[in-house]
This record gives sequence, structure tokens and C-alpha cells, in this order.
Amino acid sequence: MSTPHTMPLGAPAAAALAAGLRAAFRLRRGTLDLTVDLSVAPGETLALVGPNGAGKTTCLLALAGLLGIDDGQIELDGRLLDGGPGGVHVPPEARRAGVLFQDPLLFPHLDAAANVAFGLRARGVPRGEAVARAEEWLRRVGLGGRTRARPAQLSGGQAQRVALARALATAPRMLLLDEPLSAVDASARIALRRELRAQLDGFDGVRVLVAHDAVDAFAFADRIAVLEHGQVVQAGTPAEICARPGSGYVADLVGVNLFAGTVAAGVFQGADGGSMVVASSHEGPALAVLHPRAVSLFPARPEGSPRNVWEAVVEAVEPAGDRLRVRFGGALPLVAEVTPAATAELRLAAGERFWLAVKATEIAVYSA
Amino acid sequence: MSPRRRAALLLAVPVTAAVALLSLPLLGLLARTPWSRLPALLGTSEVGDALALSIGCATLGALIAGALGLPLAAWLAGGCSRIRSVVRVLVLLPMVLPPVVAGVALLLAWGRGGLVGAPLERWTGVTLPFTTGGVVVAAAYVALPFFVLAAEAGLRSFDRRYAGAAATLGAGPWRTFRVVTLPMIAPSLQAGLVVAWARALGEFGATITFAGNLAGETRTLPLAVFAALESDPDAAIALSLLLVVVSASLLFLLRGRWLPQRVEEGR
Repeated sequence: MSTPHTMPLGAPAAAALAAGLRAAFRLRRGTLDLTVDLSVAPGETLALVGPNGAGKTTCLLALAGLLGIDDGQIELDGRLLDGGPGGVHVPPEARRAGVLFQDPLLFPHLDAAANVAFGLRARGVPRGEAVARAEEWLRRVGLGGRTRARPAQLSGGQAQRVALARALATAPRMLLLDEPLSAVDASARIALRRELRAQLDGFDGVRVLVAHDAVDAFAFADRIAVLEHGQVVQAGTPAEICARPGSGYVADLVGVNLFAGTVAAGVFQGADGGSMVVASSHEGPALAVLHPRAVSLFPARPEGSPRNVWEAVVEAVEPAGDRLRVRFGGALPLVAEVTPAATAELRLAAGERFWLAVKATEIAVYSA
Repeated sequence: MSPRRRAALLLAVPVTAAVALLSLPLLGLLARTPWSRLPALLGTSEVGDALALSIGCATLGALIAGALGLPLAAWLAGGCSRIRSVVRVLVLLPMVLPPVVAGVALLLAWGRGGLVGAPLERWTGVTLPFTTGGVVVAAAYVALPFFVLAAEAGLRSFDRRYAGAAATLGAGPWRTFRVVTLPMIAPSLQAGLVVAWARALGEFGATITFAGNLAGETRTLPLAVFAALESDPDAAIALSLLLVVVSASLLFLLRGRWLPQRVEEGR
């Protein structure tokens, strides 16, 4: 049970009473020693990214109350959930945290509507009303016709939509999503990502997302925290992280070039100008993603026939692990990654002009 | 001869032997059954009493085993501490103990001069040995391990993440157990109840030692078979056939649920 949490005089009471999530804690479990310090405002999405075993899911389970913390505290909307002077631990059922797990974890013996109604029933909503509200939620996620379906009769994408409706139906103050797209096959992922995007936009509480890949992190997150070996090694907006990856891992994972725009007849038109030929039959709004290693630098216009060639000015050269990242200006502000050996050859420095070349096949196009 | 065919033939020998071992006693019973006298032999009120007593006591015993066994299984499945290991041995003991020994032990505990029996009689006037209540206690005692084993196996294979999901949706531990865990392990519990019931129905040694062989009160079908073997062998055969039919019908009725079906895990 929660004990009343009184702020000592002179403490930054405003910060503690502010709406949103404030989590600064340590948790040891097996070989993992997790230390995090996170704040997420209502309506904001924080993405946790990092390699396997970095502690992303553990962090999420601690926020949900499914794992206890060893030190520190977790507060949601000014309410102490974990830690503090009294060693509080509010159990998960009293936290008002909706969780979307990697697997939908729908109760197999209940139909879709009963699954969604489960949380409402647990909170004392009468059966008839709970089922009516559950059916309304299923309509909202596009499954109005499958209310009587058993989980075994649903596809992976449909099951995860039911799980999303189930989590949202209880009107949580915080939504925790653990790689919600990872158990869904690629064909259903695009539609589910769009659905998730729409539902997240309509949710005004705190959102914490463990992101499967850079695309998910960029598609959903207002801010990104990078976890490695249980530590937050970098945090910032996607643009900041993209521009200055703090380690080789971050550079690989999120240090991609990502542009929003539209694809028509095999040509990607950037929202801020610039265009690239892409090897995709997609038509319409899209995200174009290309790895900095896929960008080639030339001191003069290259021979041969790369489809995408243009001239750009170096804005900055930054080390990222054992490599160098070269940021260029222009309508499509590309980042290129080069080895230190190449640097010596090319004499890279801010203000220098180079020719950039990108193969169409190196550009991944995602429906947006 | 292909290796596959030779393997199949090699397998056929022990399989035939096993099937023969299982079916020959049944065939023997059927061959000696006095079919023409059957209605007269089974139509007596003693047989009706014994059958009703058997089914009633086995059902009560299985239900008691279920009611006590489920919490016990939940506790056993909750970890693997030293005290749990000790209790698990205690649970399994009735399975391996000769039933006669179980009956003697029950008598020493619940008998009139027994450890629990003496104070029980002094304070409540209730005596268990040589009563129908004693038959039920003996049935529950021998059936309990079978139910606990099945229930614990079900609980251990239950994916705890479903309980976690239920908790995040606002369900407390009791509601989660009732609405999520219990229905999801229901096939294991059903299988446990059936095995417990079958074991209780066939119980003989502990019953005759602890509850005696009083017609109408403690004489269950197996005891009636034993009593008839000396006086009227044909009646013993007829009663045996009755037991076979009751047990086989149960297996037939529950054939779909005999083995715990895999609970469909939401992908």
C-alpha cells in the first residue's frame, strides 16, 4: 500500500508534483545492473533503445510494477509508486499503467470483447457496461466485427490490436509498450504501426516504448534514451541522437539518415526539398532510411552512373566510436560515415565541398 | 527388408506383449462371466448399495482431494525451498505406500485411541473408523497425490506472463487466480480429478483396514468383490464386470480430456 509521501521543506516540490513520469532507480537482476534516470511528460513518448540484454524490458517491467526496484524511486503524476523513505511498492494492479507486451498475451479462454472488458471488470465496472465499452474499443481499433472471436482465431496483428484496446480501455495514466510490433509478421507490421501511431496520438498520458529498431523509435518517439549494459548512455530527441551518436552501437542503430516525404514513380521527394531515386514500388507518403555507411564521398563528380549524385558542403565532422561521421547541409542533410583512414585521404573539414553518391538499392522506404 | 520396416517389426513384438498383458485379464473375466445369471446377480439391493457407496465415496474423496490439493499444489508450485521438498515427499507417499499400510496408519491416527481420533471423539463425538466417513477419508488420502501432481504440473507450465498482464489491467492476485490462472489450467485440474476419482473408486486395502467391510456402510464395490469371492465366485465375477464397465465408461466419457490438452497460447 502506498504511504503518504510528504516532500521535505525546501525540496523542489514543483518537480515532484508535476504531471508525468519521474523515474530514477537502480535494479539488479542476475548479471544485469540497471540504473536509469528518466522523466517523461504527459503526451510525450520516450523510446528506450539498446542491444539485447541492455535492460530495456526490465526497465519497463519495473515501471509497470511487475519487478521491484532496489534503490531510488518512481513517481507518476506526483504519486510515489516505488521507493522513497518508506520503501513503497504500489502493486501493478494499483498503478494505472497500461502495458503492451511483445506477445499480445490475450487470455485464451476469453473472446476478444471479454479480454478488453477484463480490466474494466477488475475495476468494478458492471458486466453489461464493461462489454459495451469493450466492443466500442474494438471498433476503434478496427475490430468491431471480431468481438466474439477467440484469441486463437485472430491473426498476430489482430491479437496485438485487441491487446492495445485492452490496455487502453482501463484509461491508464501511463502506457508502456515493449516492442509491440516484434511478434507481428512484416506484412501486418505497417498497418499495426499506423494503428498504434493513431492510438498513441489520442492518448494524453505518459508513453514509454521499447523500440525494436530505429524505424519504430523514429516513428513514435519524441525523445530517445539509449540503454547499454544497464546504463543510459545517451538521451535526446531523435534529431539530436541521429546527429551525434554517442557510441558505435548508437551510430549503427539510430544513426541513420531518415527523411520524411513522398514517393511517386520510384522517386522520393523530400518534404523539405531534394529528391532521390529509390528502388521501391511504394506510392505515397513515406520515410526514406539510409545508413551513413551507404553514402560515398568523392572529391570530384564520380565517374560511372550512380543514380543519386549531388554536391554538398560539410557542416561538421564528429567521431563516433572508431569511425567519423560527416554531416552535410542541403535539402537532404545527409550524414556519411567514414573510417579515419579515409579522412586523411579526403581532408575532411567543415566548409569543404564534396560529391555524394547513394545507390537506389541502399535506400529503404517505409510507408508513413 | 528396409531398416524402417525392421524397426516396425521389432517394435511389434513388445507392443503385442503389452497389449496382451493388458487385455488377457479382461478377456478372462468376460469368458467366465455368467451372462444368464447376470441380471439376478447384479439386481440385488446389496449390489446397488455397494455401487452407490462406491460412486458417492469416490466422488466425495476426489472432491476433497481437489479442494485441499489445489491450494497445496499452488504452494508447491510457488518455489523449491527445503520445506517444499519435505512436503512433496509427504504428498507422494500415499502413491507408493501399500494401501494396507496406509490403512493401518490411518487407523493409528484417526482410530478411537489414535493421535487425532481420541481428542476428536472426546470433543465432538465423531468417530471415523468403520464408518462411511472413514471410507471417504481413506479415498481422499489415496487420491490426493494424484490430484496434486496433475495440478502442480498444470500450474508450473502456466505462463506467468499472463498473470502479469492481468495485474497491469487492475486485477489483484485473487481475481487473477480465479479468472485467468484457474481457467487456463482447467484441463490439468480435470485430468487430476478424473485420476483421483478412479484411484478412489478402486481403493481397497486402506478402506478394509481403516473402515472395515460392513454391508451398506463401508462395503464398496471392491470390498464386495472380495467378500463374494469366498461365498459366491459368480457374484464376484459379475461385480468385477460392473467395476470394469463403470471405469471404462468414465474413460470413454472423458476421452477427449483424459490428457491435459495444450492450452492455446495467444501468439
